[in-house]
Amino acid sequence: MTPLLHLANSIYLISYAVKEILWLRFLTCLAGVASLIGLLLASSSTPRELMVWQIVFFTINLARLIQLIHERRPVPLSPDAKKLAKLVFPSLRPRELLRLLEVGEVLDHPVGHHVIRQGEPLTHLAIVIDGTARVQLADARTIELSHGAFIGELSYLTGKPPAANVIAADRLRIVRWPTTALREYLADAPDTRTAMQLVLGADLATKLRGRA
Amino acid sequence: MVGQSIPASLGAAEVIDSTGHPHALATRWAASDALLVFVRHFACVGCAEHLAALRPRLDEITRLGVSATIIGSGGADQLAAFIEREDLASHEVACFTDPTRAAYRAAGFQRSAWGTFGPIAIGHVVRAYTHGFRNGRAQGDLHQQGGTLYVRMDGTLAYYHRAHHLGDHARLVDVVDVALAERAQAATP
Repeated sequence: MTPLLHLANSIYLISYAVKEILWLRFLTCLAGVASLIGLLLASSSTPRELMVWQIVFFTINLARLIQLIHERRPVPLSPDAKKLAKLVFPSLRPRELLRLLEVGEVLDHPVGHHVIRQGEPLTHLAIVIDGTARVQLADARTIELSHGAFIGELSYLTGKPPAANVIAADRLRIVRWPTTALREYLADAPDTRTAMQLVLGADLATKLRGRA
Repeated sequence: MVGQSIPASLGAAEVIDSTGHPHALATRWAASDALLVFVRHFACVGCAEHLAALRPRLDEITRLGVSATIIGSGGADQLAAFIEREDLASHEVACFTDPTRAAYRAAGFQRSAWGTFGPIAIGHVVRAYTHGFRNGRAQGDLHQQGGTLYVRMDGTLAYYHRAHHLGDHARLVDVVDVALAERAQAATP
């Protein structure tokens, strides 16, 4: 039916002017439906190959549209994830943050628990969510780490064993990632790797300023 | 080369600033670790794309106490225009030019017509154009390829990338990882 084919092509025309990918996919799907119905109703002489190609285009666009809608759905964040999003990873999208957190685990430690032992190979990189961790330096000085601070980041970056003990100064809640799994994950997630570099760099710059 | 001392000829190589004053390259790592980014020439489309990625991370790198330096191969007046065009004056980055390409040679960087006009290079030019970057008339050596170095304060090399063709840039995440590891070493009690 010719009017339907005109409608389909008009929608295709509008879709070329749209910059937003979601709307572009939606319009091309709509045009695809109109085009398919138009071709079905046009006549029995419509070449089968034309119909097959239209169905292929429509299927690809529909699949991409569904994927986009799925990716853009708001994701609920747990209270821990909300704290981390606000304090540590403001540049990460909620879905990226959730994927990062899935690589690690959230743990609660009682007072006095050794989070990191000096000289032992570092197995996890951690961030304080709640509570306080105490770094016991070799020269008997101590440093307190509170929410949003990294634990074990110097060893994570240098690959050398920790130079200090870290213990829970009060009830401590942390998120921690196995270092190998975290490196593997970040190798495939460049945006998250950049965000992690940014926060590690800011943390490191603060420490370097303190030493200056 | 990584882990070894950089060649003496690289430290001694003189680069000039946008006012035409010469500087020994070794001054860049005399007081801090240095990141040296050698671009091909000042109007290179691939280098513009590289700088667009580097620019937002310059402050992050300098905050770590690493001095960032960009070096090209054109004239001092072309360098001044390059700094303005690429909005580099608002960042903590030193820009120089090396018209004799002595520093490029000392760093072991390639000079290659294939690297500039070969199929891979052309592919990169097309990609850069689709991302909105534009080429200009060559402002420097057209066939010179770039590279990236991270030089520690003691003059040893912590990172080395030699470009083989236009668009062959060091991955910034790798460069920042090196800077983080080096500075973490400095911060370790």
